[in-house]
Parts: sequence; C-alpha cells; structure tokens
Amino acid sequence: MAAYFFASPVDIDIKLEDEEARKQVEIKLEKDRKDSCPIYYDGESIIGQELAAPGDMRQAQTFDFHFKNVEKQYESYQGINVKLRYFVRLTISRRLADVVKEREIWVHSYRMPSDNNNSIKMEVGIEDCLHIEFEYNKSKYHLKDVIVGKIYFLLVRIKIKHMELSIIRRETTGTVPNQYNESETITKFEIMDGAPVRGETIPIRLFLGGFELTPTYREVNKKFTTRYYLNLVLIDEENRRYFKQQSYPQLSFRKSPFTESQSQNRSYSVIVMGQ
Amino acid sequence: MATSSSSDTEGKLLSEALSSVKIQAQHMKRYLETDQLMDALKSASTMLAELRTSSLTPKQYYELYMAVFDALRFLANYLYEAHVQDSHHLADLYELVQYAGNIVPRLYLMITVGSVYMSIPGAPVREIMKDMLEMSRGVQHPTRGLFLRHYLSGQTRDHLPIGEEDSPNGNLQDSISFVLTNFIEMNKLWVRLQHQGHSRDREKREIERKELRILVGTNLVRLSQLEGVDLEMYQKNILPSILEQVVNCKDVIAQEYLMEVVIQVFTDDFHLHTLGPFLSATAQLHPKVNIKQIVIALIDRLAAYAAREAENEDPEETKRQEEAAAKSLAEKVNAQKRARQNGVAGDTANSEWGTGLEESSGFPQSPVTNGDKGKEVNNGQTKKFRGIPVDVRLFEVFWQQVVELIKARPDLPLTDITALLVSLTNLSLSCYPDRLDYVDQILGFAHAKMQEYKDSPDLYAPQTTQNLANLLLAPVNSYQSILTLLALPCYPSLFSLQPLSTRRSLAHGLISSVLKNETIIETPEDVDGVLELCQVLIREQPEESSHVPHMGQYPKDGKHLGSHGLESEEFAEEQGWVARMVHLFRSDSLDVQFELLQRARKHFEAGGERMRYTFPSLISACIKLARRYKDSEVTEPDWKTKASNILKFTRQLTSILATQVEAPAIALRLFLLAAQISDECDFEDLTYEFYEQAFSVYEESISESRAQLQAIALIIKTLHRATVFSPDNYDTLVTQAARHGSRLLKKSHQATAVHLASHLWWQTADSLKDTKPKEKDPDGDKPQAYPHWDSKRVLECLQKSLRIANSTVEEIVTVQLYCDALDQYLYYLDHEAPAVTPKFVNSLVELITSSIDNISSPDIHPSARAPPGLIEGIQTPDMITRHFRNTLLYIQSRKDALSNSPEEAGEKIRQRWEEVDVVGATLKMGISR
Repeated sequence: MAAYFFASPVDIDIKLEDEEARKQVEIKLEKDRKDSCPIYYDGESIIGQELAAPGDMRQAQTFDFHFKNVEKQYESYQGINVKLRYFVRLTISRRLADVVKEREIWVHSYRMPSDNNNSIKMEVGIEDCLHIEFEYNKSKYHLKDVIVGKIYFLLVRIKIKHMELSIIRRETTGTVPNQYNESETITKFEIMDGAPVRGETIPIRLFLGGFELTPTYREVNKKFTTRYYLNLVLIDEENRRYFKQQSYPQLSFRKSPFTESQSQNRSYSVIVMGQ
Repeated sequence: MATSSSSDTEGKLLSEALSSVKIQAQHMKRYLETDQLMDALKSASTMLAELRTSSLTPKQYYELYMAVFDALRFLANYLYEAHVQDSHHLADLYELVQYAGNIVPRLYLMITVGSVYMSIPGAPVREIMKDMLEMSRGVQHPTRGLFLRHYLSGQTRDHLPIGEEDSPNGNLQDSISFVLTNFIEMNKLWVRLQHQGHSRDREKREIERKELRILVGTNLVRLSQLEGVDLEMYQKNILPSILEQVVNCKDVIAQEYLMEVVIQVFTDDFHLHTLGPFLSATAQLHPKVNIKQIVIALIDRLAAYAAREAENEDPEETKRQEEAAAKSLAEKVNAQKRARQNGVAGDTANSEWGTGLEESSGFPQSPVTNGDKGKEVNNGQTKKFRGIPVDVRLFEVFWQQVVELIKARPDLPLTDITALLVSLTNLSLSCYPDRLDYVDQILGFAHAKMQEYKDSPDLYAPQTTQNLANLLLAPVNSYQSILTLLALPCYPSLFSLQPLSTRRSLAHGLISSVLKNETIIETPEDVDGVLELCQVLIREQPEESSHVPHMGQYPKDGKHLGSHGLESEEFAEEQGWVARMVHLFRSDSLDVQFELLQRARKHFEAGGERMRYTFPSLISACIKLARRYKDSEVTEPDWKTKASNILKFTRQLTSILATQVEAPAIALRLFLLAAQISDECDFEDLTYEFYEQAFSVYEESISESRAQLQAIALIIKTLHRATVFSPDNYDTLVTQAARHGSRLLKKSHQATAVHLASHLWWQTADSLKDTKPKEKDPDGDKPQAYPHWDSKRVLECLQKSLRIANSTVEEIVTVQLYCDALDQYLYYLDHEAPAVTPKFVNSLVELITSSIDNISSPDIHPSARAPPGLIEGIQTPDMITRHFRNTLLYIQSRKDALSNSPEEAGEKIRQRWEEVDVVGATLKMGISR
C-alpha cells in the first residue's frame, strides 16, 4: 500500500480524437528536443472523452471529453522571448496531492488575404554613387509564397562584390516604457555575384516555403509583436554593406509584418510590405 | 618577385580547391548510391561553392570547372534515372535546389536539373530555357559568369528544341534566341573583364581575356550547329544580332575575335549571301581593329571554298570550265594585246578603270555582260562557277566594300590596304581566272595608292613592300603563262614603281615561271615585254639604291658583280636563269626568230658584266638559227643572205663577249662553233673570219699555258674538219695553228700540240664521204683544200713531237709523251698515211719498253706526276704503264683480227700491221698470249 501512496499513482495519456489524421507541427523544446503536436484552428472543437465521476480507479480506464467550439483567439507562437501555448490539462483531485497532466496543442488560424496586394516599386540610392530601382511583385506574401522581383541598376560607382536578400524577424515584447526588441536573421540569400554595370537587371526569386516563418503578429494580447523585414544588402569590395533604414532610409525596407487570415482549407499567412 | 610568389599561392589555392571538390564529389556519389538525394545535393552545393573563388587565374579556374563538371555529370545521370523511375520529379527538384543560399552553386544546380528536365519529353522546355537564362543574370562577375553560362550552353546543347510549331515544348526560334542571348550576355561579361582592375595589369588582363575567348566563341559554334537553320534565319535574325552586338561592344579584342569566328563557323553559302551586311559591319568596328585581317580572312575563306568546289566538281565539268575560262582569257589577252599594239587600249583601259576607281562605287559595267556570256552558260542547272553562285557578284561586292572601307577609314595604314588588295587579287584569280579586268583594276588602284603615298615613309615599310610584291607575284604564280601579265595594262607601270629588291624577286618569279611552264615566247613584243619586266636582272642598274632609303638586300650593289663568294655565285645562278630563258624565245618563222634574238640582244647589251652569262646562250641560239636556215635551203631561196646575216650578227656578239666582258675562253669556243656552221654553209670568207677571230682571241687574251694548250687543241680539232677553204687559206690557218702549238711554253704542252697538229695534214676520211656528193663547185673554178693529205708533214710533226718529248727533263714526262705519240702513230698506220711506216712504230715501242721501268723505279717518289696536259688525272707512273699495256694489247688484237679475217681490210693495211712487231714489249710487260 505504501508504494501506492509514494510512487506516481497513475499513468495518464491524453489522446485527442483523430489525432493521427491531423496536421502536426514540430515545436522546439529546451535544448535539441522536439515534440510534435496536432494543429487546431480557432473555433474548432477539441474532442476527447468525458470525465469520470469520483470513485476508485483500479485499472486502466478511458474517459472521453469534448470542449465544444473553443475560441482560440491567438495562434500558437514560439519566439525568442515569447511563447504562446494552448494545452488540455487533466487534473485528478485527490486527498493528498492532485495529479496533473497537460497535453499541448498547436493553434493556427486563417484570415482572408486583403485585396490590396500591389507590387512594390521603389527607387533608392546614394547620390552620385549608387542608384537602383527595385520591384517586388506583391506587397504581401503568404507563408508558402515566392518572392519575385528585380533590381535595376541605374548608376553604379561602387565596386559591388555581391548582393543579398535577408529575411529578419523582429520580436517586440513588453509595454511601452519597458519595451524590448530582439531580431533574428531567418535566412541570407545571395541574389547577385560580382559587379553589375549600368543598365543591368538582376532577377530575384525567393521561395518562402522552406523557412520557419510565422504570420506577422501585432500587439498580441498587448504582450508582443512579431514582424518580418526583407532586407536588400549590397556589399562592396571593401566589405562595406549598403542597406537599410538606419543610415539610408531610401534603401530600407519598411516593416514587413506577416498577418494571417482564414481561407478555405490551408494556412495563409501574408507578409505585408508597406509603409 | 611578387608574381612568382603569387602564382605559387594560386597554385596552392587551386590544389586545395581541387581536393575539396574531389572529397565533396565522393560524398555526393556515395549519397546518390544510397538514394539520399537531399544530402547529395548538399554535398554538390558545397562542392560548387568552390567555384565562388576570385583568386584563380582563368586557366586554373577552368581546371577547377572541369573537375566540378565531371562530378555534375554523374549527378545529372542520377537525376534523369530518378525522374524516369518516378522517385523524384524534376519539377520539384528544380524548385528545391533554389533554396541554396549562394547564387553560384544555386545556378549550377538549377542548370543541372533544368537541362536534364529539358531532355524529358513533354517538359515545358521553353519556360525552363527562359528561366535559366534569366536567372543566370545574377552572376555578374566576368569569369564566373562566363563559365556558368558556358555550362548552361553546354548542358542544354543536346536538348535545344528544333521543331517548328509554337508550343510550350519550344521550337527552333526559341533555341536561336536562347543561344543568341547567351552569346550576347557572355560577350558583355567578357568585354567587361577588360575594364576591371588596375590599368597597369592591362597586358595580363588581355592575355587572360584571350584565354577565355573560346567560351564566347563556342556560342557561335552552337548556332552554326543548330539543325534546321536556313539562310533566311541567318540573314534576318542570327547575323544581324551577332553583328549588332559585335559592333556595339566597341572592344577591339572581342571584335577581332568574333568576326573571325563568324567567318570560320558559318557555311560558305551563308557568307556568300551576306557579304554586304558583314562587310559594312566591319567598317563600323573600332578604329584599332585589324580590319584588314577580317576582310582577308573572309576573302581567303571564299577563295579556298571556290578552289575546293572546283575540286569537288565533276572533273569533266571542271575541265570544261577551265578550258572555257582559259579560252576566254586567251581571247581577252589577245584582244588586249591587239588593242595595245594599236596604241589605243592603254588609254581607254586606264580611263575606264581609272575613273571607276576615283568614283569608287562606279564599277565598270563590262562584267555584267561578260558574266552572262561567259563560262556559266555551259552549266545551266547549277549556275555556279567554282562554287560561287552566278548571282553573287563576289568580287564586285568585295571590291566595292573594300574601296568604301578604305575611303571611310582614312587612318587605315597602307600596309593594310595593300594586304587587302593582295587578298582581292587572290580571290579574283581563284574565282574568276579569266577576268583580267578585275586584276588590272586592283593593280591600277594599287598604282594610284602608291602615287598618293609617294612621299610617305609608309610606302617603304617592309610589310607594305612585301604586300605589293605579293600583289604582283600572285598573277605570276596563277597564270599558266606570264605573257598574260603583258595584257594587263597596269602591271608594268605598277611593277616599275617597286623598289629594286622587289623587282628583283619578282623577276626571279617571272623567270622561274617561264622556265617551269616552258612558256614559249614567240613575238618580238613579248620578248620586249618580258625582258622589260626582268630588266633589273638584265641591265646594269644606275646607282641602284640612291632614291630608295632602305634596300638592305644588296648593300654592296655594283660591287658584287665581279667579286667572289656567295654573292657572285648567286649572281651567276640568277644570270643562268636568264640565259636559260633565251632558249624559249622561239618562233616557227625563221625571220621572226631572228627578230626575237635581235630584240633580246638590245636588252642584254645593256647588261655590262651580265653579258658574260647571257650572251653565250644568245649566241648559241643564233648559231642554231643559222643551222635552221641551212636546213631550209630547199624551201628558202634567200637562205644564204639571211644565214650570213645571222652569222655576222653572231660574230658581233661574240666579239663583244671576247672584248667587253673578258670571256675569251668561251668566246673562242663560240667562234669555232660559228666557224663550223659557217663552214657547213659554205661561206669561205666568213669562216676564215671566224678563225681569224679565234686566233686573235687566242693571241690577245689567252695567257695561261694550259688554257693555251686547250685552245690550240680546240682550234686544231675544228680546223681538221674544215672543208670550205681554198688551199691558200687552209695553209695559212693550219700553219698558224701548228706554229702556235710549237710555241707553247711547256715542252710537254708543245709535244702534245705538235702531235695533234699532225692531223691538220691528214683530214678525216669519213667526212670525205659526206663531201663527195656535194655539188659544191658546179663551176669548179675554185680550188679546194679539202681533203688535205700530206703524210710527210704528218710524219714530220710526229717526229718533232718525239724530239720535244725527248728533251724534257723528267723521264716520266718523256715516257708519257712517247705513249701518247705511239697512239698517233698507230692511228696513221691504220689510216694509211704512207710516210708513217711500221718501223717507226716498232722503234717507238722499243724505246718505251726500255724506259718504262725507270718511271716506276724506287728512285722515283710514288707521288711523282707528269704535269697535267689536256686531260687531268692520268699522270701517275701507274697510269702511264697501264696506258702502254693497253696500247700493246690493242696492237695484238688488231694483228690477230687482221690475220684471222684478211678480207676485212685492204691488203695494204694488213701488210702494214704484219710488220709491226711488239713481241719483245709484250714479254717485257708480262702480257701472255
């Protein structure tokens, strides 16, 4: 009987209905461990077994449960400093200590793409030094999208070594006086090798599907914001980098948040490229 | 110092890169063998990352590229198999490889996958091609871009669509524009290489560019190899695009190379129909481009094509065409000549072509009519002559373009202009062999240019001189007969403007052509023409190089003539050629022949020292002509006067030879030869005159003792056969000859001359038979010396000869002379000279027998020799002994023959021989019976 009291009294396994048939998402745990959990969408029911009435449990038993049409306002998210989780928690109340078991689920939600998805065209440069024009075919990209564009060199007076495109995720946490920003480079993608001459057009094509992106989140529960930036960087022969907001606003890409909207059957995230 | 260390570093970098490629390629293969495609692609990408280097020279980069290339081929094979077996779809892979972060590996992988995909039936080939081409723009680094695009071009080569219908599978037009675009982009990259880095490295950069040029040129090869490309596509699309790029890139190296490649890779047929655009693009090239070379390459290619076509044609057909061309040529030559003789053509031709030149576009109209009536008529269905379609006026197009080019580019150096003209000439000669006017037109143009540049040092640049020489030499080598040249009005005038060295080498060419082709020169005008062209070899040149700054070739001009050594040997050889040519001045008509020789004389007369070589052949030709007159005595009533004129002419020439150039030995021979002919013609006075001349040459000019002996021997031999003389004349001459003989300096020579002189009194009997039927003196009023027989004088001579022989100091000489005399005695014994009796023979044999031992006795040094007489090399004791033995053997065999068959000779002769007794001598000499 003593063993009954001191060892873990029960093994609990939470099984979700149709679990195997669902889409799974891999989430990183601490260190290199990974776990996978099923994806649910906002408003979807989470169905298991109904819970049991008080009594003795002497042998393996299964209980069904069903949370009908649960509202899941936010998407699951695991960032640098932020983690947004959904889980089912089972509590067996006992006299001495409760037995608790949690089962995480991953939540995605769909949003409709906004109609306003024009191409972006912009001329930037440094006076008498570099003058380029770039063009992206859309202003918003979904998560499996392809960024297609081109760069037209109007004036080149620097010795360019190469040019790359990088995707940067910027996570903002906290509220105004104590806001904290942290950035992470998702990928660097070389789009040009060597120095172009005036009049040269360099194509851009970047498949997004292979990267771990999330939609853009803005002020999620007033706790955090996650945005994505597309950064065009030119590196010259002395390894000077020409890009971006700080020093040359013309060259910068402004915020490029991912947003998500619901569509028929698949996840549709959008990088919004705008002001 | 820096370079060597840097090249070491580069070498090290290369070997590191290569070993990395090797390792990654092995990994890749291992993964592919276990179907781990993702890992294989990662290895491939790592391997390809080595190609991102900037530290290698183009050559090293190429080596690296080849290593990578081999590995990628393995990958490509795998991808094909995987697709066919449905394990990996190439469309998916095409997207997958685009995640590679670095552009160079990414594009290599894309091209690898994409080109394999193109080989799959039903693939969206057009789109793939377009995409690969477009994405390749991302590599802007010249070397890396060139290699990448080269890879693109090579991988797609076998899968380019060549269909016609407009479909996603692509068609020929897509392929053409694909290759063209790639070519244009590659050329831009290649040209860009020129403008990178420091200007001090320019040379190195240009070397590197030359190493890379083949990558660019390969695109043009691909275009030329595309199946189904026809003339129209070439004319309307391909060539204009290429030329536009070439002209616009404004880069000297690229322009020179690419124009050359265009010429080499596309077919002759295409070129023939696009000469205009090609040549006008050439005119727009960078001023530093060696335009001449481009145009020449094209001309040469087409000329070679024409020559090749001529070979490929049905030999019968070719022969007919050639004959027609030759005939038409001959007609034109004749017409031209006739006109020239009338003194008209020179002007008209010059004005016609001359104005044509000035207007430069004003091409004479004559060719049009000519082309129609000419050779092609035979050849209805092909309408080609030597592979050149009749509707392509090859020469005219070139001519016009070249003239325009020269006009449009006043900076074009004369060297280049002349080189162009040489090529044009070759073109004209090989494609239009009968078009004299073309060649003349070029020559006229060259003439005008020479006048124009008269005061410019350019004219004397060695290359220009050489080109002009080639210009003049080309027709010499091309035409079968150089007489054709004489029909070109501009030829002589251009010729005469050339510096001495050129004229000299051209003259060599002319003469060797005449000799090689055995061109018979049969009219006086032609003799004049030819000799005029060869003037430099024939006439004394007045202070030859005074107005030409750098002659160089004959610096000691004027001196080399008489001097020894190599130069004089060359001079003799050269003059020998001229002399040989004289024998080709030949006419069937004797009168014309005489005229030819007279003309030749006029030219040769001015040759100074050269006459030594040229006159003898001229004189021989005259003598030959005299003999021809003699042979034609039946048909030619007036032959005597004419023959005597010629002989007089000969006498003049020979006298000049003897006195002016101091060639007495040969003059003497020629006098004697002429005397013989004159003798045959029965001109007593003339013949006497010739002998007289011969004697005076002997007396005045021949001083060396052995030469004297030879001269006397020659005179004796000739006189011996003389038939024309009266007794008085003959007596004077023979006495003179004998006297000269007996007055020779050396005793041995005297002895020889004297016993030879004996023959003058015993003229040969068989020539008697010839003269017998000769109704020489029907009137019989003239006493005849011939045949002169006087055996007493003969004996006197022989005895005198023996006496002289006896008086020589050295016994070996005496014995040798005895032996020689013995031969003479035996001769007269046989020829029934009554005074020469057997007893003389017997005693002479005895005499020799008794003294023969002395000459080979040990007292005498084995190297002892008698001095050389008429013949060299027979003066050793051994030789003399052998001579004597042979004579004895002869006597024996003669005696035997006569006793065995007595009826063979007359009784008298037999008797004489019987009396000869040489038994003692034969025993002595060890001759057994």
